[in-house]
Amino acid sequence: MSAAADKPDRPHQHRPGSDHDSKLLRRLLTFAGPYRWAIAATILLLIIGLVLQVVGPEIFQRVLDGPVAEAARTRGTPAFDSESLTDQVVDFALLFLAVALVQSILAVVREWLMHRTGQGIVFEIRNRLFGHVLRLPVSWFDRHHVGWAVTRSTSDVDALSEMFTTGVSTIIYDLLKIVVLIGALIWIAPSLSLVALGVLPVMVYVSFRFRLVARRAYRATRESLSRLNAFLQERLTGLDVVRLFRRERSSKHRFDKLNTVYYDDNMVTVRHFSLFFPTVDTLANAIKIGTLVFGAWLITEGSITVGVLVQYWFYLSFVFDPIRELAERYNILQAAMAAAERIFGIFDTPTETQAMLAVATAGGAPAGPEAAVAAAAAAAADEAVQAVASVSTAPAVPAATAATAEAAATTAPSPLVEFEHVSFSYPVGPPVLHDLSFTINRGERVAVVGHTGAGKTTLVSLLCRFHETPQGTIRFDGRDIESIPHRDLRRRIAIVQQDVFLFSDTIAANIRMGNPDLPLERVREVARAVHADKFIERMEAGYESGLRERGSNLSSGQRQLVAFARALAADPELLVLDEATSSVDSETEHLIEDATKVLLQGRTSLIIAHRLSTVVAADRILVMHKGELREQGSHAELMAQGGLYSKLFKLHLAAAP
Amino acid sequence: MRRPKLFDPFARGLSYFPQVRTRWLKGVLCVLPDSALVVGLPMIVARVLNGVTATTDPMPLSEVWGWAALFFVLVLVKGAAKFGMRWYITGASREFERIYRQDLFDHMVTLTANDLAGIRTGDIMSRSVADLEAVRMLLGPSFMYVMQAAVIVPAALGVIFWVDPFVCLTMLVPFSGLALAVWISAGPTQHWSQEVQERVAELSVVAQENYSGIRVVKAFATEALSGDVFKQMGQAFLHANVRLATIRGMTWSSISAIKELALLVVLGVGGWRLVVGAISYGDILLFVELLAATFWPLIAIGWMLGLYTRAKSGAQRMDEIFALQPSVAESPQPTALPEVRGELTVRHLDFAYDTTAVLADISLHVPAGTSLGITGRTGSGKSTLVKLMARLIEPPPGTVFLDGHDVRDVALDDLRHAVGVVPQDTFLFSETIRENIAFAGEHIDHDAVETVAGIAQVDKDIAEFTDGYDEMLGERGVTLSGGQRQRTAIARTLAADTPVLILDDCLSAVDSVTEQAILGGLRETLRDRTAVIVSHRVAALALADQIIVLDEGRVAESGSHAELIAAGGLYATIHERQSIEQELETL
Repeated sequence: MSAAADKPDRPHQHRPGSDHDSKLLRRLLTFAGPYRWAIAATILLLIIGLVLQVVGPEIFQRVLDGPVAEAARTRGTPAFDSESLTDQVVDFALLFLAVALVQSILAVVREWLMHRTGQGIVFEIRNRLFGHVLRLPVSWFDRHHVGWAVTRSTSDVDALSEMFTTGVSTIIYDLLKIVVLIGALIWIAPSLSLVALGVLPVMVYVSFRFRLVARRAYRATRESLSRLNAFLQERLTGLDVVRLFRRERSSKHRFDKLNTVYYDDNMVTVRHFSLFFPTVDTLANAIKIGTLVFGAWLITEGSITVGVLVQYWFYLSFVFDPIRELAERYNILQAAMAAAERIFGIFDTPTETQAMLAVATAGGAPAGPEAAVAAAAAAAADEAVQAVASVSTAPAVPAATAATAEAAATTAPSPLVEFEHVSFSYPVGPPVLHDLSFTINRGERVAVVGHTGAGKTTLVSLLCRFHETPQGTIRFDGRDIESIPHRDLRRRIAIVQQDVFLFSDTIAANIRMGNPDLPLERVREVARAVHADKFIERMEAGYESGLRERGSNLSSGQRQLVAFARALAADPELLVLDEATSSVDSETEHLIEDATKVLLQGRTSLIIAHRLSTVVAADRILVMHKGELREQGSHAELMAQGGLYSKLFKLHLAAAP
Repeated sequence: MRRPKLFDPFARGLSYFPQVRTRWLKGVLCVLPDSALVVGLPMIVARVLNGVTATTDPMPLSEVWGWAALFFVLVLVKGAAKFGMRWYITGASREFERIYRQDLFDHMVTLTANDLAGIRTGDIMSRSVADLEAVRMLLGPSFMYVMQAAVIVPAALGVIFWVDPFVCLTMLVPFSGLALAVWISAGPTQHWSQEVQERVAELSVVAQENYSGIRVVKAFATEALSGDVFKQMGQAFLHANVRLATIRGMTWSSISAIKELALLVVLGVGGWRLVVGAISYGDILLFVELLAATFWPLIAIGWMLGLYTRAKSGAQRMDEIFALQPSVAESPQPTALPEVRGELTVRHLDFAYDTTAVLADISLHVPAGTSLGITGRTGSGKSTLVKLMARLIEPPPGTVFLDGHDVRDVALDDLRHAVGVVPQDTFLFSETIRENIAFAGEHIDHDAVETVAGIAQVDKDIAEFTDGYDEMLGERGVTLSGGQRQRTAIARTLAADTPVLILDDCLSAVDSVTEQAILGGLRETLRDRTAVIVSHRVAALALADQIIVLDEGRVAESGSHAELIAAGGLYATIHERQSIEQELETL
């Protein structure tokens, strides 16, 4: 399955500004729909803020060219009225204070609104993405690393979050600011603005150029850091192996190499930054000195007033920041686009249900148009159930109780599961199953035996529709499983896997997985039935004890028992048991064996068998070899037949002392 | 000079300082001209504007040009100084980080997995990256900003005071307001950004878990339920994020409000001083420029205050790792054992993890070239016993002996070359299969690798991989099955060619047919070696010369297979249970 893994982590070649981008952006904006008023308010606040920012220096100009200039002209003459001129200054100062206060308050509101909106949008995207991923076919998970999928749901969504919170509005704001301020520069002092207009484009160029190389360098540091981390993690996990083989020195040496590469990459970034800031600083200073010399000349010429020069100076210093930041904003946007592309790629991958609908509407369902209609209806129903998200609703078909199963067993055999000429192969590699036909009758216990790689696990995957459309037909309860919604099908089957997967939730929650409304009484009951009660009750919080990731605070035997309880709680029509071979001591093994009996009692079951005792006790044994069903029958029949089974069995015997 | 207490948590970091001193000092030398010119350049601007606007005897344009030329030269000097400052100081801090991390790693490889067991691997990773980064930022860039501030702020205030004391004194009001705002916001900002970090970690754990367990999620049809859990956590994340953004927004808004207040002082007080003729136009521009110049360093100091707590706890968390003492260390006077016969002796060994007794009074003797089988229930102390025998865990003095020497005294290199262990948890590295099998040293050639792979019965599996022995393992390559991993690990230990071999329940994931094949191959290899085999299966133990059964940390039974069967104890019970399964068939 790993051979089939594509390489989704390859560096993404993203070309910005293309038609493709605007499509992505439009699609992203559909998520912003519910927030359009908040966004409009934000933009309005940004514009008001911008106006107020232009007003401040204007007040300066009024003061300098008003009362101050008046004072300069009249000083030493009787017309000089220090008091009234000072009063005028104070009036302007109060006006300035008012402007500043309004500006600050609006800024707080704006920030809050921006983040509330951005986070809200991203919240929606994240939830939809997570829900979508969970509903993707299992084959998708075979092709993608879990880490990759997690990164999409976290880092990529964060990249969008950055764009939605600060990116978009700030880039609009910054652009607007640059335009307005340059307009103001030209407006108040057209000739003086020539100096700035000559140099500012250079600044823009330097800024973009820098971000380009800086981003490349930054990416290199991220890569070397992740290599360093991967090495570190592995050496730490395998620390005892390192010591066992005396590889400390070589490990240190290799760490040193990786650490130095990381350092070197960092130094490239340091160099870029060390060059960039002084360069921009120098350019800004060049504009200032030019402005000063030219301005001084204009003042002596009488073309502009001192107040205008000061006002101009203010606007000039305002314009440097957004230009320096513009490229950075652009990077955020670009990162967000790349992230959006990957996220939409996942959204565009059909879920199990969507795939089913597509097949049905295309009329391509193998069983003909009737089945297609049924499938479509079923899929729609499935979708509806999922949309309601209320898991408490009873399964479409009530789960069979032990009694009905037993009753079924005593009457004529009625098939629960039928495989008809089923073949299957993974996208690459040899066929895994070849022309497989068999049935499991109600109340029957069927064991599957075979050497590693015989296709035993694949058989289970197909039955639960973890993999889609094999050649041939699989029927459950008389219906083609392709016409049964995934959810309904799976609720009628419970699987106990060899590699028990528990969630980092309470033990009770893990047992309730298939049946969230199960009362605690019943949880205790099923735990008791499979001998899991003793160790659970010994735990600090009993059934409410939290499990660590993957249940690592339980022993493998204990995990197995919890999985049994989970399956029993689900009360399935068909129990699929992938028996464990992992090392448990004989005492625990004994408990597990006993629990298995409880579990299987009066239930239709399919067992991937490893223990001879289960095999021998089965009603029927399917002997698989290289993807084919070679023999089937009871233990005695197969032994009498003297075929593959008897050989396998003798091998087992020979292996014993 | 006594180091200020403030730096105490960074004692280790500062001990690396001599190695970066030259670079760092060069950077510090550049801070001075850069910072001085931050204050100096606006003075030239003011001088020119004052001159040009003077009512009496205005400055001639030729003089303006002179000042402009000076300004231009100083701008270039400043640019160069700024570059030097960043390049040397940030560079020194990166070098510092490199040395620090290497030291941390070098220390960690002296430890055993057990010594590090108290700290999760993910935690160690974040210490060696995020915590170290915080310390680097504090001792590097943020120190640079503080030094800048230390020059710029007093100089700027001094210049303003010199031009007009009234403006300067009024200016102190918003300045102290700034310090206050930065100081007040530091705590909540820290708190909520940590909260955001935790929430995001939580989200990725849920995603990770559900994606890894997708088959279970689907089998129990709990997609919607998992989605709800994820949604709730997302809600908490959203809440924390909005809170953080609000606090940040308020901080920034108050900072810019304070800046506006400072400008208000320039406008109001400066305007008044202009009216009364105490200052000139250029001085207004000087105030504005100096104001802009002092604000950033002041904010940087606030930033450093916030960082200080973070860096302090980071340094402490790293010190926790440095404080771990290797439980297995080279003896002060190691005994060299170049030639080992392989005689193992254990005498009255008691062992406890912390307070939990694991082994009690174990004594055994394995003559060179013979084999010992160990079995017992889970938790009976089997693994601990063999780990002690291989000195993977430190045994008490005078309890475990190799060729009559206490293993604690044997040179570690010699001991490791003598005793090969296949651990219970097989750990392989994500390198090629060849590199994994030849892990013990570069001297192991391809023939040797193929030979041991054959003995461990993994050669046929390897032949089926696309790249054979050069196939990469792990995320980017093939994922081996449990049995394949175990067999590869056996091959790896065999390749080390040690006179003593310890197999710690390493055939558990292998089916019994393959198990027999491996044991058959091993029989040959074990002929002239000492072997210790831990297993649950009687089949694997039967070939041992002597077998012990552990029960609750004690040797419950010992003897040969036949003797133990005859004795009718625990071993016989296990044997019986395992045979019943076969007997079932004959019915």
